Amino acid sequence: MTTATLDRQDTPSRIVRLSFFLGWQDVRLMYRRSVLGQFWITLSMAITFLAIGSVFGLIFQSPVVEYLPFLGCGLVFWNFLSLIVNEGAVSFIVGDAFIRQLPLPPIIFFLRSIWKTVFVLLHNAIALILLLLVFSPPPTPAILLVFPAVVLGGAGMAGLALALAVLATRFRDVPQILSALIQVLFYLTPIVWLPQSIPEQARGLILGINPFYHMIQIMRQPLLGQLPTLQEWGIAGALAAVFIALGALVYARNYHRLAFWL
Amino acid sequence: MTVHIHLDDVELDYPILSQSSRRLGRQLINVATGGQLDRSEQGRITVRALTDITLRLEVGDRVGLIGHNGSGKSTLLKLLGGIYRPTSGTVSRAGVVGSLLDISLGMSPDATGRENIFLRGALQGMSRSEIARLVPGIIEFSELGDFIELPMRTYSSGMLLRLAFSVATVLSPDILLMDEWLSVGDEAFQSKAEARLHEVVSRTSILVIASHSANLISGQCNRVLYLDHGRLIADGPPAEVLPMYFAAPPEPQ
Repeated sequence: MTTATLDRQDTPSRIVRLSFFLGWQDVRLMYRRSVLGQFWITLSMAITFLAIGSVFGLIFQSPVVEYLPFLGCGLVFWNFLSLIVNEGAVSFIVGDAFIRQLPLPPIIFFLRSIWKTVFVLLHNAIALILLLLVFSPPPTPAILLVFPAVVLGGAGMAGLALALAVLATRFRDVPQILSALIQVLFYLTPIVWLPQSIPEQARGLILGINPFYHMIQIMRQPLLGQLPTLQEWGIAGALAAVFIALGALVYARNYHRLAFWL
Repeated sequence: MTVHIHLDDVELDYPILSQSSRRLGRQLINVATGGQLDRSEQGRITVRALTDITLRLEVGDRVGLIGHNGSGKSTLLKLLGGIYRPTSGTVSRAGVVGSLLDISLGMSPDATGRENIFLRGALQGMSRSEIARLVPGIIEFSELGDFIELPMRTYSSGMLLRLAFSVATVLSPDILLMDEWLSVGDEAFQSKAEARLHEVVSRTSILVIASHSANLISGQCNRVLYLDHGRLIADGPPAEVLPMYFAAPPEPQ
């Protein structure tokens, strides 16, 4: 009989590969029985662009070629970051049975949720690229800055989500509070509306304290042909560093308790 | 390093986190649970699930865990497997742990049988190429034939268990943890599965199996641990320890 030999489960490469595989399966199986499969993600994002774009474009009386790309980038990146926080925060609770049964590091089930949001982002990116091809001028090399920006923003918010995931496993009200808060933040973040529409003196208060705003700023601008300022990179980078450190600290101190809290 | 698990003065407390636990308090203390309920300084309620366990498991040990429901058998299995960490004391473990605790965990009804082999295999710690190498053998053993390409929700419960069993038993861990013996399928499959399980058990360096069956333990084990209220009250050969529990099992309190 052929048998499998086993290696240690907790090496970084094992953790990354297993979580990647599980996250990909999640996305694929979610839409398994539909004709379009996971491309429903792409299609529903495209429908959102058109619906919000045409109505709010009229309300704000902004030219479609300016408003639609702005809206599209904002929606896609908002979707990415808010999913990281929402799904990441419940990832240990969702992975309950695995964490209590299998001798695997719990972080695998957090990373599984992060990979899942990355795959969702990639599907949404298809809709966004089509939108930009139609409505935006030809791209400049500055557009490449979107890649480090997405990594920075995604990793930063994932750090925050990891800390929240530990907290949410211990205190089950946290996911409810979070999803309420994130829904409010959607309206407080310039995604549908332009940052300039807030009076200068109120911007520090409304935008300054919103981490989503800073992350979305650096991710969105390169796609709109603008360069984020050094200050914007600095704020986003500092936020990401603090969040990642916080996540690592909270996880390292509590990971062995997760099995008891579930 | 040779395969082993050593526990020294291990204690394990469970926090109880439900809101209603505040009110339970005293009434529960002497009810038929194995663990002892206790209040920590902050007023949190904890269950002492394991108390003062010192244990050396070495290569060749075939260990049967016995005791009442709630005596700490499952907790000890999870501690041995590295899922729980002790509240105090030390655990030293060398060797790869495999478990046959919940063999269909992680399988998805919407994935095909073949995809589920990969899913389950990955969760068991096998690499993709290794699973791919074993897939033909697994399919053959499970007797699923062409069903392997259909979503698992189309399977009967027997088919599902046959598949889960076939994947779970390709493992060859150093330390094998089991909760009761696995028995799946109709009669024809059962004898085949039985033989397969014996092979898995014979390949492993240390076996730990929790069971309520005296026959199983005297057949499989050369050492028996008897847990009572989270304490190890006997550790010895089956002929010595089994009668203590099965001849005159103490009343649950």
